[in-house]
Amino acid sequence: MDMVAHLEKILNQYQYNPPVEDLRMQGWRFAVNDHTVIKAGIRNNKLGEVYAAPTLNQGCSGDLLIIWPGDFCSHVEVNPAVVNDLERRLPFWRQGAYQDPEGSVLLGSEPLPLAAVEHQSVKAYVREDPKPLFQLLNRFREELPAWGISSIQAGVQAGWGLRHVRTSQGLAVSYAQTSFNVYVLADGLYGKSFSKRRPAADVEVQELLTGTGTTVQKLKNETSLESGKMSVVLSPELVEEFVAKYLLSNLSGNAVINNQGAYTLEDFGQGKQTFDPRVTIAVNPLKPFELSSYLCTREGLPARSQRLIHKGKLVTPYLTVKDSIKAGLAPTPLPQGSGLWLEVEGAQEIDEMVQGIDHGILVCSVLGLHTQDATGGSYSLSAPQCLKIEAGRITGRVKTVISGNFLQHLADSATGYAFAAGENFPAMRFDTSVVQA
Amino acid sequence: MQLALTEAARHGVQGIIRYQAVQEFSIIINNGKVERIVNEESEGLGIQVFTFAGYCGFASGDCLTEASVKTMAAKAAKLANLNEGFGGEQNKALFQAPQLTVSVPSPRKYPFDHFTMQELVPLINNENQYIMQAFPGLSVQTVYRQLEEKWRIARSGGSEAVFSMPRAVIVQTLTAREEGRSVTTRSALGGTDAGLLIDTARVEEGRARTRAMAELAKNLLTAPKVKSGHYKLLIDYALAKGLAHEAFGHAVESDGVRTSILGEKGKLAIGKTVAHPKVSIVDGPIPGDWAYQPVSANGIPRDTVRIVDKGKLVAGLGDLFSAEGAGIAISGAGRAESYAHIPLPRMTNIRIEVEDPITLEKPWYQVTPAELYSLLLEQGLVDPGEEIYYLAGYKGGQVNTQHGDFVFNCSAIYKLGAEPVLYQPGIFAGKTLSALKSIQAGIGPMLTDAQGTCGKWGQGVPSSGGSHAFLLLNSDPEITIGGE
Repeated sequence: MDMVAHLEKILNQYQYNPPVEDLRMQGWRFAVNDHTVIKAGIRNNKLGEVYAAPTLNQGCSGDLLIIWPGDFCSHVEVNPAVVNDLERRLPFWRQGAYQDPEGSVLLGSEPLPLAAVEHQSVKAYVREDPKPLFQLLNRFREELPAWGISSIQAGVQAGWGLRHVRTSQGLAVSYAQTSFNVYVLADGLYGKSFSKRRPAADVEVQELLTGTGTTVQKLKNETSLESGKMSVVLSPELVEEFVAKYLLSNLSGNAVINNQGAYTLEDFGQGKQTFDPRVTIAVNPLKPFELSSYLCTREGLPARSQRLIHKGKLVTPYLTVKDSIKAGLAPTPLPQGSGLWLEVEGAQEIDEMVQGIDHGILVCSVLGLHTQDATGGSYSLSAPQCLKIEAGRITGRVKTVISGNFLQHLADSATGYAFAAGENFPAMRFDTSVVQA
Repeated sequence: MQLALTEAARHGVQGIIRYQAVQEFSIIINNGKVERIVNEESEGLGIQVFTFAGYCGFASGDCLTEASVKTMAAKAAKLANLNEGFGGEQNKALFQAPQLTVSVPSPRKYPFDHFTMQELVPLINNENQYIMQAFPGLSVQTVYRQLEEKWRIARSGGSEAVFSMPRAVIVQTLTAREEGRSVTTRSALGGTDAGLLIDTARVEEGRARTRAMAELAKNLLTAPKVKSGHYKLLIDYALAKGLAHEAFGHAVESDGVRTSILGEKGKLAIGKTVAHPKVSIVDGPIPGDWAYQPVSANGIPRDTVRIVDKGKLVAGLGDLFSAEGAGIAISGAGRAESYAHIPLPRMTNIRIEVEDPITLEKPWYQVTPAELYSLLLEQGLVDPGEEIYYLAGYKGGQVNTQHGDFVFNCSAIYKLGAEPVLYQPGIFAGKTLSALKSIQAGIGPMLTDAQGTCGKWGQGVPSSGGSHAFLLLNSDPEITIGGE
């Protein structure tokens, strides 16, 4: 059975010719992913170990919004089991519907942008031959020991599927998309990952291996540190994690409208200068082959690039259609996954940044980021894998506890930024409190 | 299920078949207004197979037609063979697994559909309004989530297990704002069913916890940061659950023993002294608990395991596939987020017990920091003028079992004294082998309902636990509280 066609057929029937008048629909919208994911892994150096066995997951699921007369809404997760028995469930959903005028607005059809979200090689791994995924993992097993690494955990996964978005206003979008993710963790000390909609090129795999191997080598040389305020460099991977943690929730329109974030609607209305003028934060679902890219939102809004913070000034929170009506602003594309991009002016090269530090640390990983309160911006984190920097040189590993305020770091004109090859995000340098643990 | 097993056999492999059906809804209320109500029902099948040489493959899907199940079984077998071709790891534990038929009735008191949505929404809204009225100016989000997972697990050879995991939780998220500063705190109350909303004692407990968190959100707006360092500490039972779970529990799960800080030559270091002789640690399912799971995802009944007895490591959490390798017994520890995941050895409800606990005269949530300080002085557990900090409210944690580094975070820190001083939350960063040895005393009754979600290897399963209402920890150079 074609689940999407079946779902459309039933919804149209209940909108235009319902068997029971009480179940007549005013409108509807759904977004469904029909996906297949294949993955394999290495745990404790062992390829295909029982907990990391080769796996194939297939599913077809998504969310359905039904709008009943009077702007009453039902939100339902749909999948084959639900769609097969949809008509039996409708009376229960109708009974439990809630009134939501702003949530009842549906989008119609609009031209879609071109964005590269499907890669044929990834599709082939999923639908034809997954052996290249195993060969990639074997490469990790063969090459990482050259850096003195004895314990390897790794994983690779490839996904392909069709995304369908429909509304009763005539919007009908279907497109194919792929995903590819690979990660490695060495000796429990340090790891790197690669996530896009295309496979990692050979040079990118090499960077993953080299970056992991050389960093682990440096982390095995332990040294000590005198606690105090000093220069702290967050690695690009960590900056991405910090941006997702501290900005994703604070720039959410729903949080802004409900006073649950760091900023108010008035702050956006006034274009409040929140961060340093070098800092721009954007949603950009059009970047080729990025995992956060798509053609339209689940509501059917076409993808486009949207600055949320431009040169440090608040522009708009990211807004669903419902939240945009409440806020009196236009709806925006929504971040998918982490999905926010940090653009900075005047960034250095990362080697140049490290060479300019007299006394500080380069933080490679932290524990506990998910436990922090994003609204205030402050953090207190264990950083068990840090590299000490003295007179511009990395001298060994230290374990620290770091604390500060990430939102203040973004506002601070003294904060430095630096780009590293192969990274989407810059590294960040700021002064903050560091304690040797 | 039978079709899947038959198809597996036809492809020359043996298997475990997991069927899961989930019924779920969530209600979100923002500042007195319904934000969203979501209904969810799903089902699916996971087919984990082993070649006779012991190579594993797995396939899952949510389309359960005969043709789809046959395809799934064929794909799982193909992947197992591919695994063999690439020199994967062999595991033949399935072939020695005990043959069992298990059926456990649901522990819930109220059926899943005890309330209609029209009855439930006002109940949830009442809790939202109650806090909004008590704390004007605070933003309040109330989320009520109720679900029931039904599992059926069959293995080649005839074993079959049927059980269900009902659970419910009400979470209140409270945001205070003042002069451009904002702070968010949360309170949560978990259980198995809608009793959370109608059993008077539970409702009152939930409200008391939420009032405390609302007050805290307001007070934290102007609270300073504590100075980073190593301190004598008092922690509440929710943080003690974090301590047991992050500092210790993950390190005794059989799949990680080979690289765990508590492993020796690949086996769990049974007999090793890991805690003060007054301290024991237990893990096991408790009916009525948020993380209740009576049978493992491999179809083996879950044991209650005394992991640490009087300070000594005596057992681990073993599942079918790695218990033997870790040198421990199978305790039915395998848990999976869903039918689409391969089960891993996991905790359910883990708790720390301390001998001869000090009695509390009133419910733990009514005890103020000043009263706690007085009690500690009376009991001779702290000297007058001695520096001691009280950490309250669990906000999650993380561990690296290979190196024994763990953290968990609190909602607030108080410097105890005749007039306690409130500080911003700070990370508790420690080492597995130091943290448990620092436990000196338990205060109050055992409380085991601290709830959370464990995210091991990207799979989220409900977890819970606790200890006595409060635990006293001595200062240790390997335990750092993060601050300025």
